[in-house]
Amino acid sequence: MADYSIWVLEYSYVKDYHKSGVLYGAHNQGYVKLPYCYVLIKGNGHTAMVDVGYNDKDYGKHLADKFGVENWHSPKEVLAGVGVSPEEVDTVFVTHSHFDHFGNVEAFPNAHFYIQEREISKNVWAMALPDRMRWMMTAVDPGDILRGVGLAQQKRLTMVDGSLEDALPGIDLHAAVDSHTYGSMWVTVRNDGKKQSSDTWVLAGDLVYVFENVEGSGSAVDVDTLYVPVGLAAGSQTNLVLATEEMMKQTGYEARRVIPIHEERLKDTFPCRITEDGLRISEICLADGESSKV
Amino acid sequence: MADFRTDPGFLDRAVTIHRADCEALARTSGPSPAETPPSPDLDEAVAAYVLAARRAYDGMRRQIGHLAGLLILAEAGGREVLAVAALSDAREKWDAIEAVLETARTPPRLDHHRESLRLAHHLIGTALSAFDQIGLRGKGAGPAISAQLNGAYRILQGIAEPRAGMTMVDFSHACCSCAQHANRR
Ligand SMILES: [Zn+2]
Repeated sequence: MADYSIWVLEYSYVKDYHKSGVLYGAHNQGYVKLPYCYVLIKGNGHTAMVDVGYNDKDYGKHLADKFGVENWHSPKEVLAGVGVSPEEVDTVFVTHSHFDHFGNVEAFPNAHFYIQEREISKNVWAMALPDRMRWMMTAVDPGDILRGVGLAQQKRLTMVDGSLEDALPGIDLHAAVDSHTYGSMWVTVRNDGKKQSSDTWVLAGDLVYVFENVEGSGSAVDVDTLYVPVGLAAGSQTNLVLATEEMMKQTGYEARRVIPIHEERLKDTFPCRITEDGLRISEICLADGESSKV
Repeated sequence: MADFRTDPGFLDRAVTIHRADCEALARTSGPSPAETPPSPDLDEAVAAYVLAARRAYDGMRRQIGHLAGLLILAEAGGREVLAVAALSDAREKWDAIEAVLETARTPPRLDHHRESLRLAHHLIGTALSAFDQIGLRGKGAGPAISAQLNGAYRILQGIAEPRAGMTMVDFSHACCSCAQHANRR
């Protein structure tokens, strides 16, 4: 029995992305497609999102011209692919404050948002540092923080301090401090509702970009696989590896249950389809009674 | 801010800083992008203004984020709110930005640009004063402060000029940043 359906929904992508950006130390290994996605979780009377993407009107043209980000579509269009409207979304878990995850909260007018407190407080600290240390604000849009103020004023924002069990029934939040960002969060769905679940899915945010972050080739050090952290870390690669171990532990070390949303090859692991808009829907699992959307 | 009669690549290079291990960097030789000097035909007055304006712009961008973050923490109960940089630091930064704006020599055709920067700066100053009055734990003035910050944000967004390094988000190290090289192959 499964309580929740989970879909990874692509909303935009970069066709040619340097592999060294997704995999620490992968120089001169060419290019991969980098999809931009968020996750929809539906079941137990709830419709929840993991991250909300960004709003194209703000800097879409710049991203397109300069970075090759293309084919952006709104949550209204993207969610329609699984028969959901943004207005139905009641809960949003924000894994971290980068613009491509936290940049479109206004598209979800009825949702209550969760973010790690440290993701805000440590960014506040970083933004107050001298100009020469501005690197630490990479990819954070102050406009998103401002929209966060609006959420807080409407009592639609919960700040999480570390782990939170049953944010929704069977859905837990966990912090990966000083990793990809200062207060990155991953979402664990215990899909049988049990404390010691044997049907656990981990939605990893940007703690894992691609499968190799969890199952990298270990041939150089004479093991089958090893964790290779993502390239971008405001904290440390060490903390990324430690978080990967925690996530893997929660799934009983079943790598396919740790879901990377920037991974194009989800298509090789899960049923999927391409929508009319040329964007992929990957169906991670289906709740009892839910019909397939792919 | 149109009309940079510049080597179009210069401003790009000047604001694009890669991680030390980035492949895009390894492919280029010579000085790092941040150190690349302006090309000789760059209009000197414009270049000088752009450098100053960019400092002010970036400083204000981060001040907005700083104060907005403090508001969230005050509003949604931040445990660490008192441990983060105090308002006196913010005031110091605001003063420093004022000095940059005062001393920047503005080519006539960019007057309106500096006026916009000044207006945004004024709004942030008003927000800062309100914050001074209510304190970090204070409530009540939140909506007024966020309105001022939103106003300042909109002004800065309205005069964003990616070619001059004036954008509300620093994408230069972001998840998508290394794609730009690929994109131009
Ligand atoms: Zn990220």
